[in-house]
Amino acid sequence: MTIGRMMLLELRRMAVSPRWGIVGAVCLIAAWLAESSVRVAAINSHVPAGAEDVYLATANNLMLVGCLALPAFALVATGSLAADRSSGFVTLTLCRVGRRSCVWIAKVVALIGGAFITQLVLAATSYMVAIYAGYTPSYSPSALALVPISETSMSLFAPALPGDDQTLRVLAAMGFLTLAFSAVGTLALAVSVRWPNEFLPPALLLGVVVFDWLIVRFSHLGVFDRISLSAHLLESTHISTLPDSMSWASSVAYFAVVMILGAVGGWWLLERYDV
Amino acid sequence: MAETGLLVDVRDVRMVFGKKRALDGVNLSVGSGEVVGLVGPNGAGKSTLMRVLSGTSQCTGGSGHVLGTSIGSGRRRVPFVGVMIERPTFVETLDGPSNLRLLAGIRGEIGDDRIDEVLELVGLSAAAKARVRNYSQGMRQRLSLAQAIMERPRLLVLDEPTNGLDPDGIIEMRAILRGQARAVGCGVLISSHLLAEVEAVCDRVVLIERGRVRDEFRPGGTGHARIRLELADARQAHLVSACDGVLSTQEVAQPGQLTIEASIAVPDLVIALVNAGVRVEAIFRHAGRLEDVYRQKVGRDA
Repeated sequence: MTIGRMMLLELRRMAVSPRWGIVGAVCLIAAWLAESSVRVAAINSHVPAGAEDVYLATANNLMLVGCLALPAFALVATGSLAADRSSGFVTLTLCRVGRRSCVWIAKVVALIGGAFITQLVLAATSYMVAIYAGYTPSYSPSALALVPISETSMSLFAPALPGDDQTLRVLAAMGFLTLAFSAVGTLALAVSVRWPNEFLPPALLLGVVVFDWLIVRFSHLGVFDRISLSAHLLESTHISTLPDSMSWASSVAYFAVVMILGAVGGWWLLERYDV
Repeated sequence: MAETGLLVDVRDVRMVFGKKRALDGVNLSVGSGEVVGLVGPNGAGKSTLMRVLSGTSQCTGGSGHVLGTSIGSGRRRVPFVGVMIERPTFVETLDGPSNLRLLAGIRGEIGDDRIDEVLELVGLSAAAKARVRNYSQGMRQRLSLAQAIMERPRLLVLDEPTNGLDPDGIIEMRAILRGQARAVGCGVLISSHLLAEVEAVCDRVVLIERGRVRDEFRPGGTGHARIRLELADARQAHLVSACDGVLSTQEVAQPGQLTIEASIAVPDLVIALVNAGVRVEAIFRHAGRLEDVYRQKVGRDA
């Protein structure tokens, strides 16, 4: 089936992108910074940290996820359509696949694959840094995550309940961030259909995250939290024991809506603009 | 849409960018086995027309079809056309064969044998294993031609195919295109600024200016050869016009230098001139009728 083969082409192209080196470096920096935070939290609370805590600390830090990992992912996964249009490569694929919608679907599927691989890289580098720093992986719930936030001065961790399986928590966080990255990446990719500049999606995502963070930080608008990217992005905002926490379902629905908007909007634009 | 037997048959194609009319009622047809050249100054609308025909741009008006697929705004399908764009682009980190395999994988119609065959045809088999980022412009152009013809499309749309090619490459490209048209029956549409090349390879030439077709003709369509003669004795010019097969003579530049139009082949003309006692210093096939027409129609130097 042509569309399936087109998806494979896009995935293979993304797989050989030299920009994965940037993603790896960014994830390594993020993991290293998160490990420092976890070390401080462990010292403050006198509770030992585990290897999973480093990953969850990485995944729950807006600066690390929103300002480093997300733009780095966009650089790899969303640059291709804009670059294909300016270089003319899309001409070679479009005439073979026969329909613009197929090109778009293949790009979005590749982007979702890229989001998943980014999460794998983020988790792998976090574990590597954690093990290098002397932490050990464990299935049992993180002792540090069960410490009240007031004692660790951090709100880094996933909903921590006694009996939680740490590995499942890590997998859930990866899945959630894959959805979140895919959704905002698709929206940025749709924008690049209209304005084909391969550096636009990462710059746009970085700008949105910073702008969003500034509004949340200084406006204290409760209503804005419901549409805020940063409020939905981090796992730590879903801790049920915290006041004003959001439900997981609302954030999953939020990113599902963003994903649908981006996918439909990008398809609509691609059908109407020259490639 | 009624089938006309033509690979491309479009009428009144219009394309508007803001206030600019890039295409303003273009009619064009390309038949099976026919090589059609598009010539015109920069900004004439050649590339825009090629983009419309290859499906990457949607025209704002017009009717007709490309390989049975209707053109016009809002069309959904893009015809399978072998496309060679002006600036060939591939996945830079892969080698030539891997790039071809990647693209061939979309349709899944050809295997490695065919890829090796086209690489050899375009003269890239020896150097193909290098990464594309290390290719010269000429090698990229050859690879671009390889991807355009590898799946044996019924129509080739080639924008400046000889860009960056050395003389050998240009000659090979010409032979390949003629071969595709003659042997495979493929229709070929070429855009180029190299008028001599267009004249050498095309069955029909379409002159475009300001988004409109200004003229359309067949190079050498009269069957008459245009030849430049330099005579050893300028006083023998009158003998030339009296020779069998010479239709007209025109003195150019200096006395003894003539442009003639002849109804016979050049070797026969040489015999006729010798028989008439004309002492010929030099004889050249004329640079080309296309250049004359281009200058006349477009009104500037080619």
